[in-house]
Amino acid sequence: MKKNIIYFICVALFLTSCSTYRSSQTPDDVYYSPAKKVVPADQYDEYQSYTSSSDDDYLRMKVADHYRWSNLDDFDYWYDSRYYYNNYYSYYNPWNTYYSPWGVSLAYNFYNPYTSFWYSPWNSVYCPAYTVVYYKNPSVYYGTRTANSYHLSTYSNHNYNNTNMPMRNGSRSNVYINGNSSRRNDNYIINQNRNNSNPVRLFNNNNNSNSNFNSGSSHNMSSGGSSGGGMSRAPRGGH
Amino acid sequence: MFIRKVLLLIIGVALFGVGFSQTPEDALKNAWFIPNGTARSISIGGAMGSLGGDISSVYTNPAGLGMYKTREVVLTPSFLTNNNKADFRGTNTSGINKSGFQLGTAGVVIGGKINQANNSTAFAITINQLASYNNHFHYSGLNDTTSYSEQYLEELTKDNANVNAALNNYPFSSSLAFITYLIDSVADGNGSLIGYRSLVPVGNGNSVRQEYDEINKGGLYEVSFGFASNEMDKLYLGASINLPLSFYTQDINYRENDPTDNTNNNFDYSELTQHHTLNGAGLNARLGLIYNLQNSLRLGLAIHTPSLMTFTDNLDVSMTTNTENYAGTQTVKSSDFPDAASQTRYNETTPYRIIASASYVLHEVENVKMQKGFIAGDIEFVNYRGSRFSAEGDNNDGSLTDYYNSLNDVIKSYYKGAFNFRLGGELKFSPFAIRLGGAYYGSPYKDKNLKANRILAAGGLGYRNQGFFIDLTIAETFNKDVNFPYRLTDEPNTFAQLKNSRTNVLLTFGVKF
Repeated sequence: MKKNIIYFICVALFLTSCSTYRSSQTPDDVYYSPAKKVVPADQYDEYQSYTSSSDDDYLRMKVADHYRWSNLDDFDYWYDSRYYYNNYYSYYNPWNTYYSPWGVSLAYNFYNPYTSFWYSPWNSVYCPAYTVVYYKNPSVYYGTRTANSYHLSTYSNHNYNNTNMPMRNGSRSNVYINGNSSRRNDNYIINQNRNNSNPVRLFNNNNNSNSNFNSGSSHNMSSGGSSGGGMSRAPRGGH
Repeated sequence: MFIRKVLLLIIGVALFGVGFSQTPEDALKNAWFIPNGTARSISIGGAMGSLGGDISSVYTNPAGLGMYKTREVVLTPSFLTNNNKADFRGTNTSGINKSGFQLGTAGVVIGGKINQANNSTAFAITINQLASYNNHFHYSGLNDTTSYSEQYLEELTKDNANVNAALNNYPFSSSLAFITYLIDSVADGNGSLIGYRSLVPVGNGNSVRQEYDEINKGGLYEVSFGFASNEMDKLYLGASINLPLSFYTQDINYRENDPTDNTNNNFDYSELTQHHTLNGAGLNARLGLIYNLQNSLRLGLAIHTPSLMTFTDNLDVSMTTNTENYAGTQTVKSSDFPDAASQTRYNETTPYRIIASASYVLHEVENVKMQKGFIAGDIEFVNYRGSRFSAEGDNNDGSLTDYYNSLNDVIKSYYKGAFNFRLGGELKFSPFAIRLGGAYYGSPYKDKNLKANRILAAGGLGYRNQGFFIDLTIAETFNKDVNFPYRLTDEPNTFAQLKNSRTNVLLTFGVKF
């Protein structure tokens, strides 16, 4: 448990250090999601609507690091046929929709040197946030355990009994308090030499062949019913 | 060689056509739950259907991702504790607890513009533990009406099973009872088999003490890929492709014992132990839209397609019975049966869901100091009776097909469609926020005698500043359900009324980048 907490704290601190909003208001996308632009917090003393101008962004970066961004200042960039249909937004927007109807193209983002890299290393292909989760079906095999329809028939029994009979003289009476409660049907019990309180079920029709039946003794019958050797049960003791 | 294998398979299937298989309860595992999410979404009762702007939108209405023009990464560890109470035939059991970690929503949302200031798209990859199976149920009480041994009597007599079949063909149920002498055969005067009887003295003034213990582990996880678009900050369209992964482990220990001191009534106790694992994977999709009316009113509609899942089911059962002077103590395991197939595979189609939502947001403005709060609500319909099972892959065995058809018929008659309601809100005092929410999930059972529902009450705090946000939520879920220790066809069934109180503490940590 301690390890989990430590791991969580480490990950949290690491991620926090990568945020691009550390010196600005943190957007709350439930209310309003601004297009990506970092504005110092002190500019929010009065409400300002966000204006997006990639030209401004470009110039700002060029001023900050002339040599780094100077290679963008060429004809091929501004008039690249891939972006010509709307090039200045493509320059700014890492989610250029050129290859994707969703406007999401990770592959494009990875290979385009003009996107994603200037605000944060998290925007890059090296960012652990770009976790790609691979899914694969587990390898399993089909068994031969099959169906028991008897169990399903029990779901049609909507007769319930959730109360016991009251105790009378230390034992439970078979007189039921709730007259509408269904109780055991003892008609199943035939004239056998056994305790009448032991539940019994009889076949509905006795036309099955049971000539090998051997009541009350050891049943060691491995033939006929099993494909791989039969089960047996231990002989009874005492009876 | 090949023909021999085929013949053995055919004979095996024919002989073991009465083994354990999937039950209607399996249909609820991946359908009837309050989905987990981020701390913020849970604190407002999960009412994210029209709100959007939270990564957990992937799990309710993926159109909500369209609110994002920023990027964020989110982690949500959580800790839950279960407190269970049970009422079984007038005997109350309480204080059964189980706790553990749970993974909430974690993932990445990447929003961006297209070519106009108010048009954008967003993409998210998330993983979430939608449901936690971790729990521990326990109940006990006297029963003066029925014994679990009677399910085996019914099974054998309905199948007209002879002694050889009783010994061999039910390795997960009746054969265990027959071999341990929990049940025995009944002959007429000519020595012919006419039925089966139980060794458990119950009814006619006799009672048996029944004790049920179930420990569940695992959860339903989902890996999601969400996409959404935003048109002019008015219409949001979204879709997600989701890979549900289910890992379920169930350990049941059921015991019946003679509550009297009588050592000559041929029954002391019988104990059944079952270890069951159920692992599955599948695919589903969610589609949704959100329309942002004027005055900050948002309306949402989402459809969750059924999940198409394939499961691998492993089962091991053992039984020990002490019939005193009758046959003493006998133990047998399903693994003792040479042909018992402890593993099977099947397909499940989970129910679809439809969610209609509305929310009102106070001050949809960029300046977070002017954002004041919101209120949101969802109404969800889940067609629980729409779950379907089928044999896996190219297995076209007729008995399996018949079984799954019967199972689907039972699901249609046993369950119903139900409405779920979620409501919550937030008051924001930037950088802080307080939240409150609740949810009600209706009973999936058609039979009104089976009382069941899920109620969620949650509250939370949020802090959002310096590029990160942290949300803390405490959610209390009150689950009411029923549990049948066994089921019978021709005697009244008994069940325990379960009450589970689950406390879940969620902490979501997110970073905007």
